Amino acid sequence: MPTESLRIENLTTGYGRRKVLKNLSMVVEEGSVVGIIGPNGHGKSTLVKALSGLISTWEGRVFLKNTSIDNLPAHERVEKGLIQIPQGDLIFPDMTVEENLMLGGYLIFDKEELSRRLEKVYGIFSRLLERRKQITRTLSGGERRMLSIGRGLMSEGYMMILDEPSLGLAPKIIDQVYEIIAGLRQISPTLLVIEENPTRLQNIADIIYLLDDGEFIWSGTPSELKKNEDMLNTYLGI
Amino acid sequence: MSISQISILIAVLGILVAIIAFFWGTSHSTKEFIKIDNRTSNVWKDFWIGMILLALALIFPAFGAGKYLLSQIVLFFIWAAVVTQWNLIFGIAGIFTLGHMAVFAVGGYITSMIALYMGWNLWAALPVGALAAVVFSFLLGATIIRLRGPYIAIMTLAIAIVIQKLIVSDVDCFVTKDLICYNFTGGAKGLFGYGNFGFKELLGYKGKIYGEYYLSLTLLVLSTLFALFVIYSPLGSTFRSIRDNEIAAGSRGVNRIKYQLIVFTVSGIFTGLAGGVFAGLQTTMGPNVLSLSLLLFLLSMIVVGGRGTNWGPLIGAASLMLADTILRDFGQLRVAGLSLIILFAMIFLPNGLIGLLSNIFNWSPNKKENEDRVSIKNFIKSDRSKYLKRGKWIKKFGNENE
Amino acid sequence: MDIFLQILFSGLAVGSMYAVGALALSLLWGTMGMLNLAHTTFIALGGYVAYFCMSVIDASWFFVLPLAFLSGLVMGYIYYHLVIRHIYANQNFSVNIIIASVAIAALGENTFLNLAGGEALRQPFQFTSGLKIIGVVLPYQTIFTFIMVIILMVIMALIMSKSKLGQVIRAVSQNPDAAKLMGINVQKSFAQAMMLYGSIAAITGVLVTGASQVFPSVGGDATVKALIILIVAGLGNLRAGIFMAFALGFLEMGVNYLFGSRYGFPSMLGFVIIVLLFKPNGFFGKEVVNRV
Repeated sequence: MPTESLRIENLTTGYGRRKVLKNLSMVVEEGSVVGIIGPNGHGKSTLVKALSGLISTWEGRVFLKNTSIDNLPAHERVEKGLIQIPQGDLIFPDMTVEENLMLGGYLIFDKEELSRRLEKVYGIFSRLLERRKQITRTLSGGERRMLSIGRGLMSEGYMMILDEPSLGLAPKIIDQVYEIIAGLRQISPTLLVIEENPTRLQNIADIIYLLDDGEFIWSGTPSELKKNEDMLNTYLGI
Repeated sequence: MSISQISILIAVLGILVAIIAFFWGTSHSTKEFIKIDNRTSNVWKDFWIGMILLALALIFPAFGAGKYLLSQIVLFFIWAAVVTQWNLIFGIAGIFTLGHMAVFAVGGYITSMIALYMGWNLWAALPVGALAAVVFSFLLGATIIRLRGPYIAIMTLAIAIVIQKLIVSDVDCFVTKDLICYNFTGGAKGLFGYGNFGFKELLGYKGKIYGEYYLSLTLLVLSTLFALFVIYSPLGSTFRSIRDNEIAAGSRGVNRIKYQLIVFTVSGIFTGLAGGVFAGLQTTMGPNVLSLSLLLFLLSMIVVGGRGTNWGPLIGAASLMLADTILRDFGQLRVAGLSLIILFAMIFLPNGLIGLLSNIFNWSPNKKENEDRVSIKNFIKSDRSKYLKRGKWIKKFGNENE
Repeated sequence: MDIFLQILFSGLAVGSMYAVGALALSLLWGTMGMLNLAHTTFIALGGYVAYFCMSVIDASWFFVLPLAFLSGLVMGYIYYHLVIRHIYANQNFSVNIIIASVAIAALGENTFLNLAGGEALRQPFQFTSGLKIIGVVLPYQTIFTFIMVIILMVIMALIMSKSKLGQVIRAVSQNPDAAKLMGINVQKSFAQAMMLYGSIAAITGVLVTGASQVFPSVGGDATVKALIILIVAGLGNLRAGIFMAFALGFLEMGVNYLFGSRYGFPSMLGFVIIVLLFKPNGFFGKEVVNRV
């Protein structure tokens, strides 16, 4: 029986007095790739923020490896191995590429281990190696996304959450990004990928959830999703 | 009249204001966009609050309050008038000035200088002082209005400090009378001997305090009326829209700086008048009106009462005057006490006493937090609802397939 | 020539004074977006610690700087946990903290007044004589302060670029949310920045009071001046801030000598206002773009 990696029970949260997520429940099994899709403005990013601790949980519980994490501040969740790879803008704009990557390994104090991981990341993203001394403000969108993923890899966390890895990128770059994500399974086996549309996810995800207006309204395997194209048209207008 | 009696009286007054204000609640909470329809009813609420307070204030001296208490209330009226205007700039228009006392000082100094050097009657000098304050306010506003919030706070504070330093260090003789040298600005000693409002001649020695009382009350009433007028005018709703979302308001062509400058300038009228009245009642005008402790005192009135609320400054002024009466007994520690009050209010009462009251009275065990948003959303995409049901059906169906 | 040298030397003295203030204050702006008017409390703290150390318990001058360092560290820690942390949790931090720090400044002044009295005390950690150059005295204290400014700047630059603490402080200042996602405890690093600030500020307090005397409100003017210097230079640009500190120091002293000492500060402020009229983000400041 596969162990549970992440369990969400009746998660409710929002901003100020505005409720965005209503009673979400889901389970991510260890070693699986779970995709969450849904239209813009229906709580995808809110879910990511609630999981990583950037906004607080109003009601419900979140468990990582059967320990409750919903009361922990963001940095302690990272210590527990829940790594978020944020959307493009959450980088440190006035630092070099290498400094950004080193901050990804902030929790590692062993210098040799740190440089070993740095080499590994540079091995995956040769582009970042070329630009290691460049200020990240000057990077292109695709390079920033690579940096963001590479920075997440530095920590070699237990589970990774990718927030819209294809957002705002050219199709060719998206292909590259997804190749890398497929390769991620070797490093961090459990992935939660958030996307607006399912086309790319279908190839890598084991289970896909559909998030609409703060609620999961459907879940199933990618092949089941294909059968329900009618529903996709309704929700996503594809 | 003993201090405890005074404290009790002021406390009663403050509580009255607070209770009445509750009926009206916080006007500028997050629920603003719902309340906007109730604007006319808010006006009436404010009208009745004002009327009750005014009636209380008008008949108060008839209860035979002592001279000391009345003079404290006179001071309260003046400070309340000043902080009402300050709140208009600070809380409503969002200009974080710490140089408001400089405008007050300009009003007071010009009034007393005109009376002193040109021999005018103080009553005639009052409007001139107010006008000077307006001009100064405009210049001050034009200088700092384009800066960012924290910059404005520091720059206005620096300007106030420099004005105080210039006055204190003024040692050149402007007039020499009987071998005594008088400086143009009065220097560290301050200006004196420019006469008074003539209440003593008009009402006699005993009646003088009543004249002062009603004069300062008039000032406060006018100042409050003006503040409410601005809040309910299109200008007020412009500022609310800017506060809700500056970028959105800006893209609809709302010129924040222009409106801010208008409010900043016009609020100089009553601030300057308050300065003039203060100078006339105190019969001396010194640089201590620009001192850090007075700044802190008035600032804490706004912060404790509730920034950006209609009656917050009044409640704040009442409670701070009360606190000050108590703190006065501790002499040296007065300033420390004031600082602790302001820190306490900033940490525990971010919306001031008004915010606290409305939290208490609006509290209910199971409030529906989401009603307004849902209703708007339903309205926007009412045609979606059938798909939502269908989606649930599909979910069921999908589960069956597994 | 004499008057020129006079202006140069005293400008150097006050310039270094403003520079150390700007140095410490810019650290807080960079980390938390905080303009700290309570800087004056830290300056007075440094001064009184030096006085206490050498004149009250007759300890050696050797202990003054370490003791000031320690007391500033502790003060910074207390200040952060009792006040800043809570105000940071509410909205509108950058303006609220100015109000709060005015209150802290008044509280500190009042405390020193009650503990040590209001009279100006001679702060013993200072050099009394000076170097004579063509009849004009350049006090050793000025040279010492100037050297200390350079040392402190180098130390700060090293901490910010090389150490893990500096890296974290920069990360937090550039993007607090992203820093949290890296596993950085933002509150802890704010507290650390505050402690670093406190210790630097207390040391500058020793230097500043050595040049004058120590009394409860000793740092008030220097604080406001350092803040407007940072603003006119463009916040976040430390090198421009240091340059402006000396430039305005020379301006102030020049006016003082030529037109009388009461016009120094006003003319300095006038200059700042004129600059800000044309460049609201400061002389070397960048336009701030708010992303929607």
